[in-house]
Amino acid sequence: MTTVENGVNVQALLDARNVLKDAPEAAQFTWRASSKWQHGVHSTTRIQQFFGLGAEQTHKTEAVFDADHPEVFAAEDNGITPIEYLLVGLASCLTAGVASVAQNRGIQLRSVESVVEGQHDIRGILGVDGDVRNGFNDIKVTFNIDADASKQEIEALVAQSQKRSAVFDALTNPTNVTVEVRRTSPEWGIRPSSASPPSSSGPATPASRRAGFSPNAQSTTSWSSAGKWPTRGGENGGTRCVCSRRTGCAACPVSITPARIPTDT
Amino acid sequence: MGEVIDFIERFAILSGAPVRTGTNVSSVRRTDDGYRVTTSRGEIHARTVVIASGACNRPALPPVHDAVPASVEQVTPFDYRAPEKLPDGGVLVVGASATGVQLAAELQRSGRPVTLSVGEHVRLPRTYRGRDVLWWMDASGVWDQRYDEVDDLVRARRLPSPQLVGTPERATLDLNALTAMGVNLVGRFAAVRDGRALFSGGLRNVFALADLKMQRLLDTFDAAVEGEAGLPERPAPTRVPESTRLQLDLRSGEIRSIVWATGFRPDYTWLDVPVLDAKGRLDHEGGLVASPGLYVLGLPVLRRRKSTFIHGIEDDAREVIDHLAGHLASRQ
Repeated sequence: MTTVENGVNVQALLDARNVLKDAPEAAQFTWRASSKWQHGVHSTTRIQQFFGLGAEQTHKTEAVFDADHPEVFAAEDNGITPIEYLLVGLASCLTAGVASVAQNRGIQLRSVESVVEGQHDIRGILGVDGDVRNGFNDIKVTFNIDADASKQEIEALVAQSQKRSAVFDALTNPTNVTVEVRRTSPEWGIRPSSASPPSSSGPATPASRRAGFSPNAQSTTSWSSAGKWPTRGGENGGTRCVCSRRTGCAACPVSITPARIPTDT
Repeated sequence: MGEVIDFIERFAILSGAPVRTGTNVSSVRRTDDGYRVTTSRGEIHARTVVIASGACNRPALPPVHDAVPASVEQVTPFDYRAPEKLPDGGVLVVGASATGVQLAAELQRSGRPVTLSVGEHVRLPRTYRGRDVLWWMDASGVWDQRYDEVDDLVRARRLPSPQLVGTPERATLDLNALTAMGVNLVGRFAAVRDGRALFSGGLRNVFALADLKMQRLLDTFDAAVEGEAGLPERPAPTRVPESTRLQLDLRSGEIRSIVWATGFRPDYTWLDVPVLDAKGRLDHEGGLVASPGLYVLGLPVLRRRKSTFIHGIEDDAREVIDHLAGHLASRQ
């Protein structure tokens, strides 16, 4: 049998599985992102530290992610939209899973490509129709895989990858999300500073609760990590804030009522 | 059933072992030279004990059942008797293994609209290439696969019971059959929030996993009879509903009862010997429990894939009892 080399250190993963079986406390990780509002609906999120294996850990370098809205939403398009970051997470998680499972099963991969499409009816976030949800209606992933394996073995790789995927689970199953708010205005005696620990429970503001869309934008858009933005869109008649019916609007300098906001599913 | 009862009665006569019917064991304790067994009809001292109380002594309910609104009646397969005993109206059956698919079919036939919550499951056709699937399990050697040859023993022992039902027509009762009857499939029961049941959106993948595993098993069957008459058959893939519901309002009256067909666990509350692991499972190696003179038979993949079947226990019993006899001999 020829040696399979997909670049995944499966032995280390299997060793970790054995060690963590008897040390569940070391398996508790906290992933963190720190986000800062820039201007309009543009924000910058930085990631470097995380906690795991009983200690603070650091990525080799800090990663910086800009999120904004496209010009069809009357924004500056300084980065992808927050909901597109979910596509990045899903595609990369499933791809990592395919590589790991293939390595473990002795299958040599030659190429693994995927397209992730999320169907999104933005009438939900615009408040046009209360029956339309804010998030994706449907997500479709299409894999193209070239490997030394039968069709059935390749299908099994992708199925197993979904079974063990953190992001697939996070998107398909409900998760409790707690959003806490601290007022940092100087007259309250609390300075806006980096001294406050970053939130450990994910993004501070759900993407769906951001505002600033042009009401004239087309109502149904197909977000695609591979495709192009629709160029149709309409007049950029200035942004409209919908804070009057939502809490947690990042684009609006009003004081926010502390609230526990469960994720909608 | 009559045949099985006759078989067991005849076995009791042939073996000549004293049988104490209607006798409950309330405690088994270790002594210097064996075990003291406390029963509802007095104590028994035994140099060795074989636990054969099975793996399905109590229904296992997921913690989420606590969050179900009180207006919805909840039953386990232990309480369930007949569709008429449940309130009229919609039923949510949780779990799509043997118990879940059989109860879903029975309830749907009774006129109650059934929603079936489906997690990972084992799909099998009742018959394959003209023979019962259990004939194939035997002929292909799958039943005889030993516990020390299985890739992942923990997973093999936790495998849910296959979607099979025994009927005179030998009908297949897979999810496609249930869909054709009008049963509404939803994903794994994930949570209750604000009185709404939330289901996983990963239904497609549990279908894909079950279909792929079934295909692999049928490949094994085909390989076992290579060259013989008859051609491989492949059941149609599990049909994915056009749209699946991700939530259901449990307070709307649409669902009047929930049947939790979410598996069973053994009950060892009477076993006062420290042989359970952190998860409450009996610590044993092929039936030899981690306490001298204590044995177990009839648990899933105890020594073979067929360990839980009446016909499957014979080989296991021979090996375990060989060890037991050696243990007695060494203590003479």
